[in-house]
Amino acid sequence: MRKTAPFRRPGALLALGTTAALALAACAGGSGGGETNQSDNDVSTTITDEPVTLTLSYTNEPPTEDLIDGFTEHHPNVTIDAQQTPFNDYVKSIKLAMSSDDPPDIAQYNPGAMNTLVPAGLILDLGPWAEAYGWSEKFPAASLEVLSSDESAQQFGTGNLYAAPGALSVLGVFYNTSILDDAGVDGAPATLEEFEEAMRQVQDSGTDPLSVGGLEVGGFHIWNALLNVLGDVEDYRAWVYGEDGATIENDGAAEATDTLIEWVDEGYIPSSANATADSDAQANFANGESAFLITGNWAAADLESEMGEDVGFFLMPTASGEPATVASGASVAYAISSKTEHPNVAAAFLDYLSSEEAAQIQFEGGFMPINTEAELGAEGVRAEIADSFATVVENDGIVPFPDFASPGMIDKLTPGVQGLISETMTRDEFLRSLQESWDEHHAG
Amino acid sequence: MPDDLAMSPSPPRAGAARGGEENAVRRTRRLPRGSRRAKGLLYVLPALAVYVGFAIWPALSTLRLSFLEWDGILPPVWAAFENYVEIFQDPALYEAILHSLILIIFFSFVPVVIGLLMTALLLGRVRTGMTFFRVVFFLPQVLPLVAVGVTWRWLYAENGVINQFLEVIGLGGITRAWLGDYHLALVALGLIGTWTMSGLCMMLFLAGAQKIDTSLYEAAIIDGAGPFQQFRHVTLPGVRREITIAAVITTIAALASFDLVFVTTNGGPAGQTNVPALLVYRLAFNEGNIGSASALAVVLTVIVIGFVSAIRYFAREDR
Amino acid sequence: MRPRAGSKIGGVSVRYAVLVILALMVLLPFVSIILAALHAPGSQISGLSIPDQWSWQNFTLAWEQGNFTNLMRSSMIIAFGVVPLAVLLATLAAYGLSILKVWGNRVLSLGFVLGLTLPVELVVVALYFNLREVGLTNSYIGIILAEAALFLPFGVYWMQAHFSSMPEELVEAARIDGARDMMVLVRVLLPISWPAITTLSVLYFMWSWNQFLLVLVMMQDPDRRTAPAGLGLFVGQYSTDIPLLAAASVIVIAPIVIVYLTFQRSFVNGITQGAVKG
Repeated sequence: MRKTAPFRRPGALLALGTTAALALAACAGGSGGGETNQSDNDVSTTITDEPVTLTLSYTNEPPTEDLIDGFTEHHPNVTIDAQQTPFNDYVKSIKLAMSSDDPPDIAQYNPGAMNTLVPAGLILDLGPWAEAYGWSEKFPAASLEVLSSDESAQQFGTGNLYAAPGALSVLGVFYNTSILDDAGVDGAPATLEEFEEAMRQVQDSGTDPLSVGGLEVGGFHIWNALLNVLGDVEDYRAWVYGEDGATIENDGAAEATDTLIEWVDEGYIPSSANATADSDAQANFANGESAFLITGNWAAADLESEMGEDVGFFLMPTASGEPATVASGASVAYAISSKTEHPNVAAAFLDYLSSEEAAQIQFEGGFMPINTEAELGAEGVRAEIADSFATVVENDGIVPFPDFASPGMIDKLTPGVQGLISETMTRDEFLRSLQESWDEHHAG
Repeated sequence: MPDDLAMSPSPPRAGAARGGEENAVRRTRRLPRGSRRAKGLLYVLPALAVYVGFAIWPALSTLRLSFLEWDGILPPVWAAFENYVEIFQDPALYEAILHSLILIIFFSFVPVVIGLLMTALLLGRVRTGMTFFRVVFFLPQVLPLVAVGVTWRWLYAENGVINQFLEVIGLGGITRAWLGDYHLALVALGLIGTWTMSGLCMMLFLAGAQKIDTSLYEAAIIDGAGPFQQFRHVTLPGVRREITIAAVITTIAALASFDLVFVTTNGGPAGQTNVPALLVYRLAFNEGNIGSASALAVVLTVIVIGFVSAIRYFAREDR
Repeated sequence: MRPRAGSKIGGVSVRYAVLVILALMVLLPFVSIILAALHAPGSQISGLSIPDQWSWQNFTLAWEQGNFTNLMRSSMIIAFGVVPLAVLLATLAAYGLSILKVWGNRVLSLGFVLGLTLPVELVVVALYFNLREVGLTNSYIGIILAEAALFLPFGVYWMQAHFSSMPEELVEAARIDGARDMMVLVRVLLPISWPAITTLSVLYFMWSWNQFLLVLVMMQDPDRRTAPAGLGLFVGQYSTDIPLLAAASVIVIAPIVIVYLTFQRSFVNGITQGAVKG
């Protein structure tokens, strides 16, 4: 018995215990059957006129607040109380908040947290609403696939839908046009070799080629971008989604790791990278201290406002020079608590994310919009991003970031790449450490 | 609780407890009447309830959780000693323990030495400005370690004050991003601990030294002892108790350090500054591995208690 | 003796020189962040540098962007909840243990003292899940009670040491006059205990103000976190804007530095006597 009850309830809390038991029973009914019984009948695409207040927890800004404003403008009776948590605290915070007795109605999706929240039945299965609204038509297929998983959240890309995306992002390379000009580099490189050549030229001209936020996620973003173009996309997807027998100890990942090690040896990746936070790396790049920055398009809005026309974007080039068709991307997605009293209102918010109006908000926030047909009037660096992104989406080539693969993966990726940068870890040790975390998570 | 334990004086030593017994014997005749002793319970109960409910009970619960495999949400599974076995098998976990042992040098040993130096300098002839120096030396100890970490993170940066200083004195060749250096990050972190803890040690030693009978110094001077000998033969033995206390407080701070690491390196580079407290937090609240986190917390507590007892033991055997 | 007289003078100036160097090393970080905070917002600073023009704007900016109105308020709520509660509980308990000598007082005292070595890490994991069961996470009350519990061992020990040092005749005399227990405490002991209580309060305030891990775990609502916890997370977002970050750090340390300088004597008494009385 002791095994099933984490804590024995002190007698004085009996009253509270009873209420909690009732609540537990209610949500057990929801999770056990897969769908919430009570809302099955009233799935609706029209929402109440009564005043409703929803709470929403999120970490990415932009685009969250503007999307909320956009939605509530259409539904003045709805108030959404949004609460932002910094990213470095978000996984923990959202996990704790969603499993509490009074969870937020809507929460920004996070794979690390969903690994425990979905199996516990705390996240609403959006299947009925997806059907009612016809989301498969409104959202890009790959963007919904990532947000689907089986009920144990072990395998992704299959099973129930647990969130809907509110903005898309893609990993690529920003470059400083005037530094490239000064170094005699002729525009954005078309092949991986040209990219390396460009970094060499920049280095020779006395400027740092790359800014790398190795203290946080910037280091493994480089590895990830290389893996996108050097590895096999099906292998990678199988691994990230948690398919049986998948492994990261493959040739593509080895090549990507070797390339990163080479960049360290060549000094393209500075030794100070391990003490540099992502925001520091971005600031260094924006201040013209380096020629390239490998990060997601979420940085675009800031970089453009600071660098104006000096900034450009390309996807990590392939070895052959073919346009890249695979790129890691994530979405700022939102999930609904299975304890919410207003699932229809929350679902209406998710549906709004695919609207043309939302597309504009998403794009202005520096993201790629959900509604790929919306007229955006893009120019500058964001047009370059939109173009590269279009190629990838057409090829269904958006893949999740590697930290998606297991809850502890990010704590292997960051130190692992730090080990590569400080030349204290070998390629094989690095890949082994990732696979160990994967094995551990998928053992059960 | 690195902070408050760092600041809190150590528990009374076993010797004191024995002293208490003697007092009790002496006072038996005056023991309050039975009814009064019973009513005393009413005074103790509120504190006891809060203490047991919010410190002891959770501590015991953590002990229990350390034998379970639990993600914090789904029903837990009995794991016996698996979590403990894992600690000693997973390099990341036992290295974290090693790191915290290395930090003891910088949080405890070095500050005790610097504290003694400060005490030696402040004793006796330094009258003017004595209070000023005392207040200044102790200042780092009252600050939130989060703010200390934020400040030092910048001092240690590539374009920070430390490197600027090294360049000025002609050591431009060794400048680097200190907290990102694979081999030196832990040392850099440790030196922040030295900065915060030295003043605490000094304050304890000064208090001890001021209680030393001045006739001892006079006797030493008559024997022809210089300032150095005076310090060695009179002051040092006089503050032995305080040295023990300082060692205990700072060792606990070293072993249980969390705040500093969390804001400066977050365990990096490549896990070189991982410490147990950081991994407890990460395992429990980011990775949903409550069992391992609890086991690590228990091991950490055992190490803390082990060190505290060891320091006490050696300090008293010499006596 | 004569040569030593000469070396004495030399000795004193060497002493001062070393002391001044040590003081500079201690103060250097303070000087750096204060100077950094006075630079123009967003400016790039390397090392120690005197700003071209003094700018106070960072403090306003950091206050707004760091959400310090809310953070300071909750820091105050927590500190002003913990301090009176913990001081009251500790005083009552110490009175019961030391003066009334409740049955089992020695075991109980030892039990409290044991708490001094418990690292917060051991408590915090299960505490979170225990409090979640009773709905006390994400609440001021949960944090206040948890901090009080963690601080009680020192307080009980401190007040016990204080009460034991009082002349017994004082209590006896009052009792002969027929005073009840509560009256003895309130009328006889408290009036002469204020220095000890002030010291304890000041230390409690500092520990509560500086507590980080507990707040980080227990409080999910970013608006109700404490100033240090807010700063710890603020770092991640604004690590590039050194003047802003420096200003935020100054904002967080200012209150505790002011309390320290005001109650300097209490701090010193607390640390030194608390440790030594044992």
